[in-house]
Amino acid sequence: MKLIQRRHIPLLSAHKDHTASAAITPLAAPELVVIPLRQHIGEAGEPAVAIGDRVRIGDVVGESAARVTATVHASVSGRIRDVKDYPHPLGGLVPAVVIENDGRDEWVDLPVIGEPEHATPDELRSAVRRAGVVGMAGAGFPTAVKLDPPPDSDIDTVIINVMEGEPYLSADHRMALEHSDEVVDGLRWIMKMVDAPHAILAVESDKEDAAAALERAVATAGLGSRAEVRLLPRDYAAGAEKILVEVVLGREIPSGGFPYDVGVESQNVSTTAAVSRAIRLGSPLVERVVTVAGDGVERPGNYLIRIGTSFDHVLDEVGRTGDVDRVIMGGPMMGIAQADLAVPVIKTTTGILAMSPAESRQGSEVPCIHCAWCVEVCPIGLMPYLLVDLVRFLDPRDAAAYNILDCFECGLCDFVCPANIPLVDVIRGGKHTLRERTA
Amino acid sequence: MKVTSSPHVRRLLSKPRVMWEAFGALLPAAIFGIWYFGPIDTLPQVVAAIAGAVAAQAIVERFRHRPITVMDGAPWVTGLILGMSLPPALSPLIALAGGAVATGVIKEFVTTSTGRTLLNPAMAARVLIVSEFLVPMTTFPVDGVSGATPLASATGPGYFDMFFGTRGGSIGETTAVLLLLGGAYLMWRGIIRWHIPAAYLVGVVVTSLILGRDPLFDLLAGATIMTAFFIVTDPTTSPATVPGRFGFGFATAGIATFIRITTLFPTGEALGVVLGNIATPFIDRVVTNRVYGTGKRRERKPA
Repeated sequence: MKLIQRRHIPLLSAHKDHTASAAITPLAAPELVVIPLRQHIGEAGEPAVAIGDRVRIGDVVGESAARVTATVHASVSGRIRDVKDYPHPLGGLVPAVVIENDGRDEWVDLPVIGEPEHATPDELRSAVRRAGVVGMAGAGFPTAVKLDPPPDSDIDTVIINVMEGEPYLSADHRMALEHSDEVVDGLRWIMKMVDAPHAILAVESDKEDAAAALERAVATAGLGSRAEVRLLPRDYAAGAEKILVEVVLGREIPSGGFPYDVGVESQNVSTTAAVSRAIRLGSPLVERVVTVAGDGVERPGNYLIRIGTSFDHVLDEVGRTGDVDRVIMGGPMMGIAQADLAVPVIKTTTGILAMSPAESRQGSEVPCIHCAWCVEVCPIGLMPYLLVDLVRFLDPRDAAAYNILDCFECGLCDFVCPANIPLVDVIRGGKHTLRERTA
Repeated sequence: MKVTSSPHVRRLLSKPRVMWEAFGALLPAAIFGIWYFGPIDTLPQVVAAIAGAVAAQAIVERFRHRPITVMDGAPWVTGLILGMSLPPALSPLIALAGGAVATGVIKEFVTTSTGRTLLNPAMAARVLIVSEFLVPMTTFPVDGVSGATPLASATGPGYFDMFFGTRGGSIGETTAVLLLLGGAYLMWRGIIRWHIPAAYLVGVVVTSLILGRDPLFDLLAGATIMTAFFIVTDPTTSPATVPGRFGFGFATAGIATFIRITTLFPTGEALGVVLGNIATPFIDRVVTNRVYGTGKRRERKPA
C-alpha cells in the first residue's frame, strides 16, 4: 500500500463512528415494494408486467430498447398490485410497479454464463446489462454502457473507487471489507471488458481494514501483478471521479469529457461487486447495502435492503428516536432532502439519514463578505461566489465563461460559507438555466 | 420535515464569529495605545468611532428596511480600526463623524455592480476626514507634548521603541509586536491567509529600497503592520485568488509607501489602500484560478 499526498483540506468530520464497524445486516422485506421504472440516467423502462401478474425475484418488471437505460427487476415474489406514477426520491413522480410481497422469496431461474473466462467482452456486458447494474454511488449511470467505451479509447487503468468521502456513509466501506473477493472478481471482468492491463483500488485511509482485505483478495485472485491497492489520505473531494483520476494518475479529464478520454475506466466498489454477481450468478440488482444513520435513528448501521422498500419502512425497522429535522437520501454533502417518506429505496440509495436539528444546517443567509473561502476549497478551481453573483445579479451566460457547467456540486463551498449562502442551490439553478437556453 | 438544498451540514465558523474574532485580535494593540497615550486623550475617540460606525449602520439598515445586523460585529471592527488610526487628542466629534461616514456612506453606498462594498470603509473614511480636518488629524502629541511622529521627524525613535510601540503615532498603530500577535492569531484561526500580508510587507521593503531608504524603518513606522494584517486583509475589498492577492498586496504596498514617502499627503497608507481597493473587482474578474480540465495544465507527476 502506498500513501498518496494531495493538498489537505481538513474540514469535514466523518461522523462514521456509529456505522463503520456495523456489519451488513439484512433488513426484513416490506409487504409492498415500489419499483420505479427509472432509477438511472437515461431512458425510463416501459412496464413489462400488468396488474395481477405474479412475479418472482429477478423477473423483469421494466425495460427499454434504448442504449442508455437500465432494466429493473422484481425484488420480492408476489403479485403486481399497481402500475402508476409514484413519488421518487430524486423528486417528482415516476412510473413505478407496485408489488405485493407474498413472503416466499422465490427466485427466477438465473441466466448464468457457463464459463465467464471464455466469454467475450460483449457477452459479459450483456450479462451486466441484463442484471440492470448502474453506478451505485449516486450517479446511476448504466454500468454496461460505461463499460463500453468508444473503440478508439485506449484504457490503460481501471480505478475502483473505495473513497466514500461523504460523512456518515459506510456502505461502500463494509462492502469492500466483507465482500472483498466479490469486488476483486468484479474487477477482473471489468478489466477484461475494457481491455485494461492495470488496475488501482483507491481506498481512503480511514478504511485500512478494507484496504487490507482487498489486498488479500487481490493476492488470492492471482491479480497481484496487475492490480494494486492504494491508500489515500482522507479527502472528501477525492471521492469524486474527476478528482480521483487526478489524484491517482495525475491526469485531468477534459472539461465535458469522460474518464476514457484519458485512458481510465472508473467504477464504484459496490457497483464492482454487483458486476461480479451479474456475471458469476446472473443475479440482478434487486437489493443493496444502505447506511442508515443520524441522530433520529435508534439502531444506525449498514442494512441490506430490497430495492423498492419505502423509507418509512426502513426507519420503522431501525427505530426512530428524537426530533428529526430532515431525512436525506445519500450523504449530508450531496444528498437529497425528502418531502415524503413513502419514496422507495432505489439502486443509487447510498444512505438514509434522519438528521436532528442539532446536526444539520440551520439559520438564514446574510450578505456575502467575499472571504473567498469558497474559492479556496473548490476542488476544481472555480470562483463559487462569483458564479452566484453572476447568476443572481448579472447574466448567467457570463457564468458559462467562468466554467459553471464544470461544477459537480460537491458542496464544499456551501459548507464553509460563513454567510450561510446556498451556493450549490444557486449554481445548480444557473446550470439549469444555461442548459435550457442552449437546448 | 425540511426540504432544503444540499449540503445539509456546515462548518461552524459564521460571519459574526469571524468579525468578533477580528475585533478581539485588534484589542491588545488598541488597549496598549489607550494606556500609552492616556485614556483621557484616546478612549473617547475610539469609543466615538465605534459608536458612529455602529449607529450609522443601524440607521441605514432601518431606513432601507433591512434586518439590523450590527451585532454581527462588522461595524464594530470598522469603528475600531478607524479609532485606532486616529491621532491621540483628536476631537471625539470628528471620530464619531468618521465612523458614521465609514459605515453609513462608504460601506453602504460606494459599491460594485453586485452591491459589494468597494473601498475599505475605515480607510476611505480616514482619507475623507484627513482632507476635511487636516490640522487636527496630523497633530500627534508625544508624552503630552505635541511632537513629530517617526515619519515626520528626522531623528525618530529607535527600532526598539518602534517595535514595542513606545513612540508617537496613531492610537493603535504603534505597537508592532501586539499587532503581529493579533495577525498571527487570525492566521492560526484560518480567518485571514498569509498571502496578502506577506506580499504587502515585501512591497513595502522593495519600494523602500528603490527609494533608497531604510526598509526596517519603513516596516515599523506608520501603520504598516496594522495595514498589512488588519486592513488590506479585509476580505470584502481584497481579491479572492492567491495570485490576485499577491499582486494586490504588493501593488497596494508600493502605492501606499510611495505616497507616504514622496508626497506631503499625511495619510498615504490609507490612500494607497483605497486606490488598491478600486482594482479589486477587476482583479477578481481577470485573475482567476485555472479550472480542472480546462486550459493549459501544469504537468503533475502521478503519485
